[in-house]
Amino acid sequence: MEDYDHELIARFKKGSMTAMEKIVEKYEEMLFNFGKRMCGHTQDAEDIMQETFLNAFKSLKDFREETKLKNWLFRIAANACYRKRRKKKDEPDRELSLDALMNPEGNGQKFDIPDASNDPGEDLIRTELKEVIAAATQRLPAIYRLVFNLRDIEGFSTEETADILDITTQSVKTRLHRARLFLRNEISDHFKEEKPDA
Amino acid sequence: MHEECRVLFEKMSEYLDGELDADLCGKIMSHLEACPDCLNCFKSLKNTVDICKRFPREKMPKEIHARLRTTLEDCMRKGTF
Repeated sequence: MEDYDHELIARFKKGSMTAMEKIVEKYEEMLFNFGKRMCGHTQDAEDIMQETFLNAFKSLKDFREETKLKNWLFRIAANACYRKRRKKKDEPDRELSLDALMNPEGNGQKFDIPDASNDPGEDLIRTELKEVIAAATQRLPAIYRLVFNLRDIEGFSTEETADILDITTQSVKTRLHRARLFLRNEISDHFKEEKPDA
Repeated sequence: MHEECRVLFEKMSEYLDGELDADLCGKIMSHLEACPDCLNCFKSLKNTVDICKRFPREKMPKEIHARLRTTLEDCMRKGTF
């Protein structure tokens, strides 16, 4: 895969429009989905994807492939997300404290996390679950949402995520753990509220 | 919260991701076998991660696909890249 990217980059540097198209084809859906998961809106996702490709192709001639093309594109996309937040004057990130995510009584609390199996009969719960996860992800402060999306959704390693976001591997681990606990609590609260009183 | 439970709570994601050294990993494994509350907490976290990973990517609308091409081809023609 990286060899193929290397070949596409080399061809793009020689002015090949086909190589540009192949790069776009390979990464557009990934970047669009990342933008949507980060911002929650289709228009913002389109802006982030477009800005990522425009900035990438403007600098691709100087790209020395010290990192994978995919990781480099996600670094540009993450920066585009930060810029969009600043433009929108979104609220500053709040810290998620581990103590607030912890049950002081111990780990014995019961959580209602539904099982979204691939059984077609589970379509309704799958649709609802998808919406609940999307909404809960939007409530995550952006610094945690970025790490969660890169690690758990896009599948980057801890080291790759740290490199993309220019933070330490320990920060990646800390933010990921808090993001997961936050999502677990939010998803569980949603399905708990839905249950009729016994 | 019991100290061992607290350590597990803090390291649960790293344990799940296989990022802990063998010694700590072994201690956590033994604790999970002995502590049903922590096992329940761990399973709920693992289940959350599993369901979040399970949903496929959304298809990109065709008009967005087309607009991106128009923009990029214009830039290429104008020599922006």
